[in-house]
Amino acid sequence: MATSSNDAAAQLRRLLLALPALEGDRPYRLDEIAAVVGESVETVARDLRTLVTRTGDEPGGFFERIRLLFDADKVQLQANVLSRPMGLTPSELRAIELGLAMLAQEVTPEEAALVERARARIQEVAVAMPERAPHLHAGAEPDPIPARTASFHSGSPTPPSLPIVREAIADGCKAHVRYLAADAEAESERVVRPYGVVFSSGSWYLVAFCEMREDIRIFRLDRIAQVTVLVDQAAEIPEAFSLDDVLKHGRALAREASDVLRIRYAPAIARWIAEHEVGETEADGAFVVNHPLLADRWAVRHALQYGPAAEVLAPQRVREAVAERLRGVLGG
Amino acid sequence: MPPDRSSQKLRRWIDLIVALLRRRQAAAFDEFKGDVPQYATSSAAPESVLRTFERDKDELAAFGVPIEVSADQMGVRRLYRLTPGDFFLPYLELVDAEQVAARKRPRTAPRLETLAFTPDELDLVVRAGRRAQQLGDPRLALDAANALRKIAFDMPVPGPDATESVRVGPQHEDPEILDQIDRALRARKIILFDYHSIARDSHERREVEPWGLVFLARHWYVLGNERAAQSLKRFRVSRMRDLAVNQKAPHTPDFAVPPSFDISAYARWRQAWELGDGDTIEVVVRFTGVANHVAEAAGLGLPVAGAPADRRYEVRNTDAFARWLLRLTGDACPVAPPAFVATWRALVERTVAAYGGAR
Repeated sequence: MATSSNDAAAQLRRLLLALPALEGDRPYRLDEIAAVVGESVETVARDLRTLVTRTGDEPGGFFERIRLLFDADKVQLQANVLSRPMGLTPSELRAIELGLAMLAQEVTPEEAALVERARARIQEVAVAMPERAPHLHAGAEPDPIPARTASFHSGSPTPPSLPIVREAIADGCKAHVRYLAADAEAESERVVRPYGVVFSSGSWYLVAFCEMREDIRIFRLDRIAQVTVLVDQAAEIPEAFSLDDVLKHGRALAREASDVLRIRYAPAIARWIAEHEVGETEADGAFVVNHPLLADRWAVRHALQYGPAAEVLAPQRVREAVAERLRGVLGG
Repeated sequence: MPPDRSSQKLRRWIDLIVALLRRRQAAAFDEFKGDVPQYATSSAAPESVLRTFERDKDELAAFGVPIEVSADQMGVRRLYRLTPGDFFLPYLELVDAEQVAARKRPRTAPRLETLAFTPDELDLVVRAGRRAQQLGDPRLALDAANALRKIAFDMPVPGPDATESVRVGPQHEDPEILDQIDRALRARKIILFDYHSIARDSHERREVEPWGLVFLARHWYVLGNERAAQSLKRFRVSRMRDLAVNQKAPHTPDFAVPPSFDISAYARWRQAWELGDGDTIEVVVRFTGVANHVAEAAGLGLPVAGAPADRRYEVRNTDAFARWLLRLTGDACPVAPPAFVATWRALVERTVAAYGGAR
C-alpha cells in the first residue's frame, strides 16, 4: 500500500475499535476510549475528528447523518452504525494462531487437544473472507500455505517440565524438583517455591525460591529430571518480586556476578560476537567483551568453544585454567 | 488548504463500508455510489470514479474487510456485498465447559451469532496473543494486541502475566522490515536486499522468492528460493539491509510456492557442524567426563556398538565440530577418523599457543 493507504489503514484499524466503544448514545470519557484502542487520548481524538472535519467542498457522507460531540474530555456518538468491532482480520487471526502453535509445543499431550479447540474457536471469531479471487482481491493472500511459523526449540524439544512448572505457579503450590546442574555428576533434590518462568538466550528457566539454598535460584528447565507439584503445600510469590529483577544483561541470572570474565575475540569472529554482545572494538578489529562471571568452569568452556580465536584476558585464574585444560590433552 | 489524501481515503472507506453493510442484497456500483459522497460528487470521469472504487475495495480486502463479489445476470462479476455476519465480531460469551453445547443463539442489532469460550480456551487465546506480542515483530505485536482488544469487548482479558517472561530482543533496526517481508510473502512478490554473509564477511545484493518466515529460538529468518543460485536458503532478517519488494505487476504473483514445501521441516535448529553443502563424515568421540553438560553433548551423538563410552556424529562442517569438541576438552576427545583427530589436535595446539604455548 502507498503511504496514504498505510496511514488510512492505521486510522481505520483504530476507529473500528473506537466507534464500537462509543456504543449507546451516551458520553464517554476520551481516556476510556483511548484505553480500549490502546492509543493515546490525543491520537484517538485526532482520529475521531478526522472523520467529521471536512475541508472545501468535501461532502459529509456517513458522518453527516450522525453526530459526534466533543465536550472537553468527553465524546458522544449518536446513531452509530458501527456499534460492534470488526471480527478478527486475517492478519490478527494469524498472529493468534502463531502464538497457539508455539503454545502447542509447550503443553502436555492431553492439553494439546485444548489448544486445537482454542484454535477452532478463534477461527470462528475472524471475519469470513470470501473465496479468494486474486484479480479481485489484490494484496490478499494468494494461496493457503502457512507463511509463518515460530518455535523456541533450540536443538531439543520443549522441556516436559514446562507445563508442570506452569501448573505449580498457577495453583500457588510448592514443587519438588530433581535437578542436574551443568557441572554436577548427580542429581540434587530440592523443594522450591516457583515464582515464574523465563525464556532467555534460547532456553526456558524456572525462577524459584530454593528452600535448600534459602535463596532465589534459576533452574534451566531442560535440566530438571523430574518435577512434582506439591498440591498440599502452598507457595506465595512475594509482592515485591519481579521477574525483571532476575533478567540482567538480557540473561537470566539469580544474582549479580561477583566477577568479570574479560575475553578478546579475534577479528575473524568479532562480527559474530558483536551481533549479540556489547563490547569494545580494538584497532585491529578484535572485539573485547566483559561477561558476568558466575562460575569458572562455565568460563573455561565458554572460551574454549572459540579455540584460538578467543583469549581470556581476565581473571588470571580462568586464563590459567584454560591453558591447563589444553595442556592436559597434549600430555604436557 | 486541500484535504489530505489519507483523511479523504479514510472517510471514503468508512462511507463505503457503511453503505455496503446497510444493503441486504448484493448491489452494483451504480446502485450504492450515491451513498458514498466522494464517489457521488466527484467531477472526475465515471471510469475514473469506478477505478477509485476498485482500488478502495482491493485495499479494504487487503485490510481484511470481507467484500464479496458475485456475478450479475449477464455473468459479469460486478455485484458487491458486505454481510454484517461476516464483518462484525460475533458476540462472545465466557461459559463453563458444560454449557458449551447451547452456545449459539441469535441476537438483534446487529443480528449476530453468540460464540461461547470456556475459561481454558480464553486463557490459551490470551496467552497465544501475548506470545505473539513478544517475538520482536512490531506488526505481529500490533495484530495480536488488536485481536485481544476485540476479544476484550465481551470477555475479561487479563493483563500481561507477571509470572512469565520471554526475552528475544530487538530483531532489526528497521521495525518496518518484517512488515515488508510479510506483505511480499502474501502477495508472492520477490524481495531484494543487501545481505551480510557473516561467514564470508561480505555484503551482496540478493534476489529471493520468499516462501516462508520462521522465528527460530531467537531470530526471524526468511526461507526462500535465491534466484541466482536457484536453491532454497535461510536468511536471517537482522542481517538484511535496504530491502525492496518487486513493484512490477503488483497484483500478479511473481512465483508459486511448490506444494511440496513444508515450512515446519525447515523450522528446526541445527548445530553449526550440521550445516553446509559438503559431504558428511562420521566422527567417533570418546567420552570420559560424567558431568551433566558432557552427558548432554554425548546425547547429540549416536551409540557405537561394542563401545559404550563412544558416540558417533554425522559431521558436515569439520572445523565447527572441532571447536564444539574443544569446549569438552578433558571430558571428550575424537578417536576416528585419523584425519579429523589430526584437525582437532592441531586446533588444541594453536589454542595452547595463544596462551603462551605448552610448558
